[in-house]
Amino acid sequence: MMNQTLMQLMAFGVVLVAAIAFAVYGMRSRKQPMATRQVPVFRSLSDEVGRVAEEGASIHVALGNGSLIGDDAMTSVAALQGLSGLIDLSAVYDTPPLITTSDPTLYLLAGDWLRRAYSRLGSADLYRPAAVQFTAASPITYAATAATYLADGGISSNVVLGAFTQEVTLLTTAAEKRSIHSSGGTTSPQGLGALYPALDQEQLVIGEDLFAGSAAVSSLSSALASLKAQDILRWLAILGIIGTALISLVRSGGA
Amino acid sequence: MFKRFLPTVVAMLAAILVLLGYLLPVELFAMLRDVILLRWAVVVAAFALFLAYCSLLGVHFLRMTSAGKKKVASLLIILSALGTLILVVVQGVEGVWTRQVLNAVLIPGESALLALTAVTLIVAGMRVLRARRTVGAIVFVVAAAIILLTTIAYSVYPSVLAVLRQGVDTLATAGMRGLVIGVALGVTLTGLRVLLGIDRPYSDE
Repeated sequence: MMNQTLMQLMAFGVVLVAAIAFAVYGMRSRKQPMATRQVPVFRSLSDEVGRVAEEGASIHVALGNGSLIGDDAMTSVAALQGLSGLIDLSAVYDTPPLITTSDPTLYLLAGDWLRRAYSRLGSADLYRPAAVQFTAASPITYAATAATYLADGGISSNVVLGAFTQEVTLLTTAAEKRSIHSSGGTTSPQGLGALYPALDQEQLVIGEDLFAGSAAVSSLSSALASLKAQDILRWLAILGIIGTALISLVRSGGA
Repeated sequence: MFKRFLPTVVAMLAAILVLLGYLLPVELFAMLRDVILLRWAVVVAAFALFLAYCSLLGVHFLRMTSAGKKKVASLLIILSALGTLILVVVQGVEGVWTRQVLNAVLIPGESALLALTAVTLIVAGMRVLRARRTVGAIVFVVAAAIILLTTIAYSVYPSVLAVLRQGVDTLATAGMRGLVIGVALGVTLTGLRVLLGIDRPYSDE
């Protein structure tokens, strides 16, 4: 019981430090633009829209199975933020991507996201609800069903971004078979193990880089500040790990 | 005004209460989280599932009536979706036929697909060496090979492979922890932006 309380308070401390770092960098980034790490995949996603529009084809976006009321909620939100450039530009060209997901709550959010992209342009009537599809409730069935869409033709780019595990390999293999260009990333080790051999390194978003999408696409000061705070926390975590390891070493040596 | 203000307030309040329920050892917050907010979330998720189910039927009805391919597949999906729904409504989730469908169709089907992922992963691993001869790719394939081989051989020669296995496990665990810590920090910051109302994925403002 004591341990749980201690863990809760430590987690509270991490959130508090994150909030302070975020606030500090938020104020700084308003005064002057900040340089942060670059994740080239997010910028190249928008270029895909132009290429695909020229070919008269479409983009398949697999958002995975991250429920908005589960552990992967923020992964799904970050994936959508990283894709916002692609979605907005797709609405401009009126070549909506085919967005698939296996989670009902994410299906609603993705549909709303695409509809709003059309609304912002004043062409809400052009929005087609079938562009966003809930294909199956189970991740593996979802990946298999979405892979069949790649075989249907008319798709020349495949973006897999969100919460995935090893089932993502079905999507990348189907894309590779039909010479469809793939890019994307995920946060789980199992998903990354499946994506690493399938995607070029420049086209792969590994773990925490997925949360850099908003900063890369929008360049908003809040997104840049959050990314900078994330980097600072990462260094604090590294120092904490090294410090704990050294203390353990010293203690075991003294015993 | 309400379109912007109300969703933001609801989202922020819910997020703050859930977070406090997890982070502070106060019974009231935990109760609010478990009794009220999570129940509401389940109702919302159930409604979302209903809408998603309707959309699934709608999409496949459209595919059937359009001039495209795979009409039979769409018909099968519609029939199985409707059939399963009727079965669950009539018998409940614990009904004999419902369980029969689960045990005889869904579980074997998904197991087969999972087995297929193992094959596609091996093929992808072999292909990566042909297409990308980088240090990273070589390390990846060697590590995968060691894990696969030691997993199989460990049951036969446990004493010989114990040290190698321990070394591989330590490296793999360290790598996974690094990845997970990075993701946790990303989740924390993204969550904070939503919690503070800076990012509003549910609205345009």
